[in-house]
Amino acid sequence: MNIVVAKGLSRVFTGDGGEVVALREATCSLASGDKVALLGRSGSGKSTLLHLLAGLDQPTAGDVSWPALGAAMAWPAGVVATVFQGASLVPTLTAVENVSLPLLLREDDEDGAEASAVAALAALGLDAIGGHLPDELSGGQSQRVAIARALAGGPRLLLADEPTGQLDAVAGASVVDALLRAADASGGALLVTTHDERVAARFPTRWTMEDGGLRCSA
Amino acid sequence: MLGLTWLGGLARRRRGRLVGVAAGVALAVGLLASLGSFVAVAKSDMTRHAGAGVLVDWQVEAQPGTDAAAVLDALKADPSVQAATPVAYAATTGLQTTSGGTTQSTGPGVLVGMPADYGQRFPGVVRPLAGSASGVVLAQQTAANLHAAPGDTVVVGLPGGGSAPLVVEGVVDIAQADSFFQKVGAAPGSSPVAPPDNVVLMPSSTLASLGAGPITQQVHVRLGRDLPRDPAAAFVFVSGQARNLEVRLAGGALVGDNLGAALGAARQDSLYAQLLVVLLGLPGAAVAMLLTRAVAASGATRRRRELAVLRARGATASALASVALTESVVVAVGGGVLGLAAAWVAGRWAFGSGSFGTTTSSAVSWAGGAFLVGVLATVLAVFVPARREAQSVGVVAARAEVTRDRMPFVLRWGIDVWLLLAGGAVFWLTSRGKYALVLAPEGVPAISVSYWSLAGPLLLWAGIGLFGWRLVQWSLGRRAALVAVVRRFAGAGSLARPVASSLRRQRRTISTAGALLGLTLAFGFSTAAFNATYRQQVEVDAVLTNGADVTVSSPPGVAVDPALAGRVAAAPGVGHVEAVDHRFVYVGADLQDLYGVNPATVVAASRLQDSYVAGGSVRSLMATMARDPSSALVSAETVTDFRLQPGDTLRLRVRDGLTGALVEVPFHYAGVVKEFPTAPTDSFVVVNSSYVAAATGGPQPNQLLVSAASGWSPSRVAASVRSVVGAGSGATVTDLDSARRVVGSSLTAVDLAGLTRLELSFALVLSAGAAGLVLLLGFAERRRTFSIIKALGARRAQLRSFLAAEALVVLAGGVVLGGVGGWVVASVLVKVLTGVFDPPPSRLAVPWGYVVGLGSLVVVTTVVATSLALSAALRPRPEALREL
Repeated sequence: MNIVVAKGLSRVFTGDGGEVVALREATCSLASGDKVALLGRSGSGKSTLLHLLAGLDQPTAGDVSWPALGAAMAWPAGVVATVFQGASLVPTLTAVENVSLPLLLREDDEDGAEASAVAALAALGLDAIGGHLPDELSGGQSQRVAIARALAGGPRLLLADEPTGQLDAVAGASVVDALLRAADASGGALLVTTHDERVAARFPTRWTMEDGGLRCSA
Repeated sequence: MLGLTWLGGLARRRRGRLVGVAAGVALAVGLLASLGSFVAVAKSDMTRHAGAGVLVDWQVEAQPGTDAAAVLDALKADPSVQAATPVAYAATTGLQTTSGGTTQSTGPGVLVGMPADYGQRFPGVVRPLAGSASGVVLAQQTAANLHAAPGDTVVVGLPGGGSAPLVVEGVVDIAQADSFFQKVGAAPGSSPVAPPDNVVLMPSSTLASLGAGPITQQVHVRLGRDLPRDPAAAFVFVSGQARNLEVRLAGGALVGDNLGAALGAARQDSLYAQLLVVLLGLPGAAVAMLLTRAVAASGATRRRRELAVLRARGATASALASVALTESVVVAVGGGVLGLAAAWVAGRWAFGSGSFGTTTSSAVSWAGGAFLVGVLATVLAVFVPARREAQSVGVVAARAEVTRDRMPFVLRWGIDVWLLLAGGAVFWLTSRGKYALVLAPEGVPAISVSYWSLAGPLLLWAGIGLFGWRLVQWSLGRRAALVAVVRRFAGAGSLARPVASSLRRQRRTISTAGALLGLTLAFGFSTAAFNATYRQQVEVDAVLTNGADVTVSSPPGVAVDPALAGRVAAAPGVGHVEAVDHRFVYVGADLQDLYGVNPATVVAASRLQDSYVAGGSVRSLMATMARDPSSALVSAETVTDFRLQPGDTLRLRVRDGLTGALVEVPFHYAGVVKEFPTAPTDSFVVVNSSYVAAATGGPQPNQLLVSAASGWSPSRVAASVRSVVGAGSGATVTDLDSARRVVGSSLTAVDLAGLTRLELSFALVLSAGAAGLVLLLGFAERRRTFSIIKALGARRAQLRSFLAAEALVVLAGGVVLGGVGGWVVASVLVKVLTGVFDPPPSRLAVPWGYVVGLGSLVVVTTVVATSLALSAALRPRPEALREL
């Protein structure tokens, strides 16, 4: 069953410099078990599509639905998880608290949520930095904590926006491993945006994005 | 160029912060400048009030050997003199009348000869009570002593043994008799304070024809009122004129400078008005500056990042400093001009004048000073932090949004505790025993001010603010308690731990907001309480002066018609009538006022307060007087002079109502009385009216204290009572509304209502800013955090718990700190400014309406700020997502 279906999605931003078409009539779908790499240059519209598929933004035209999940407002926290491009940790919470946050948002038991967060961090080799604040972490550590946070909630749809952009090759590879393992474990869908061919090569499906237009085959 | 580009970016992207900082500067400048308007108006009012209260400006006394006509001519030639009239004073050995077969005699007295037009040239000095105001007239006390009325003949004893019969044409009251009969040129305190009891006024020609021996020639003078507006300057001006006249007359005349004396007293009040501004206004300006700093600091993280980007792109530290300077100049000039404009409008609204000073130079100085404070606020809020960051910021440091907790250095060094200790010590040192904050010695141009005393409340205020900061920080450090609080009161539920952790790690920012709100509320609370206490005491002063809502009085010793009390009681608008027997009594050799009261009813009818007496509550002392009718309440001075112990016998000489002779009446000392309606400020006696009546030939009530019925104003009741009393009875009717306008010093005549309106309005704006704006800007600065939480799937209630918890801590901390701090500061202010109050208050008056309104405003602005932030967090802008 499809987890997310997008039909003719367009997104136009209006700013001081006039209108910018970030995405034009994109149509795609992701089903359970799909693992997709979305390739494209910076500014091609990858992040915009990802935000629309995550239900974080509204399309200017077109329609997006989540047949397997129901209406966006009704999802428990963590069912659709997004790993953002930049530092997206809550600056006033430690790594453990950041990772446990989606679990607490869906009202899991507090002690259980903390234990799950510690386990998620440990799975990514981050058990030593659980008590650190985001400002005390390197860029790579922050990104891996964000991934741990996304994985901790057992997502059905995992969307990662340039998750290896700030990492060296070794760290990037371990992050991709973790994402693929998590997708296998949860049976959900995984979409990773990247401009790195080496990362894209590890995914069975590749989409490309160019000037706001989406092609769903490599 | 970089500065202008930066400014353009700020105007487009950070308009709220730019406007917020400029508004804070405008508030500080506006408050200070409009306080200048208050001082200017207050000083003008005091000068005008002091001048208006003087009926005879100068009494110029010709010295022996000097021709009085020459003195008169010199005065008439002086362009500043509006009226100059010769008045002659002579002595009489005694006065005597015979009526109804009895003869009444008095001791020595004074004969005054004045021209027929004296009343027109100096209106209000001689007020007719019965018969004519011109011709041969008796002062009311003299008429009472002699049992004389118009038409009677009074025999005037002359020095050398002769006497002259004169037909009395009227009975008059002599206003400002103390100065009218002053000994010109005598050193203060060297001449009798009380005016003579026995006085006959007559035409100058009549006095001359009596051959009454040595005659003292005076010229009474009224001056033009084109005086400097500042009482101190007016005092120097008038005193200088007087000295100049004496020099011109080569010592041939001495000037009794009544106007100078009144202005001299007003100087003291004028300085009190300035001190009021310092004590009530400076905290407001300081709060406005702190608010400016808080608004600017709310964007510190973002600014740091932006500066780091500029630095990374090659901008030098000096280029970044020029960016900060450009922003500071725009904020300071914009805020300053806006503040001065607002002050001009506020001054016209609150005081009826937009001028910032009594002279052009003082207005420019005050406005310039206020503008400089605005510049200082901008430098501290914008330039200094930006310059520091420009010199030190790096990209890595700029990323830091939360740092490990570090106590601010002022708290690390315990400066809050030191401030509290120092403030308490100064307050204790300056307020123990009797001290005068302002001292304007009679006849000396210099005024002494104990500025040190002002440090007490200001240090305490600052100490309370910093200590509150420490307390809120400390409270935010208690994790378990904080988790429980946010779970219970912020609806955090399962999010209680992360919400509490988030609060804890922002404790410095949050506690700063809480302390700022607390200081603002303390400013509003203390100002409101001080002003309410001031109004309360003005009312008390008015009641003490007039006696009641409406008072019907006849001269001491002249009883009102017994039927009159009943008629007054039946008049429309009259609630209650309390008869008081006011006489003069000899306590040893001192002539004092005696008030005979009904102890069963006088407490409620005269609004007597416990602070008016010592040795018991007013009710307990009146109960004692009811049980033992011979009880007497006397002044503390009398107790000291006669070494009285409770129960001691006190033999007073009271005039018998039937014979007019002084009879000795034994009383028992029961307590000390400090204030009583219509009583003078010096010594007097309060006794049981039934007891004194029984001992002196019957009751002689000559004051009726009338309480207005509900819904009736004193002036309306007075009109109603006047129609009952009638003009021919000789009794006068006065009301509380009129008394309020004339009571006490020139300071109480200054309308504090404008200052109150102004300061309380500023307090409302500042509180709304401290509660709403600071929170909202803080939330806006952390919108990225809320976008993250929303992106993680937070529902409305969950996002709200993060916002509400922070708002709750700021609000609770601010309200508690504001309430406690406001109470302490107001109490200290009232104590330090005791000289402003007459009589001193027995307790602080709290205007609960305003306080509740202030609290409600703060709650509402907090809720609005939280709701706006929640609304923005629930619908993050696309740019916010791109920042993640």
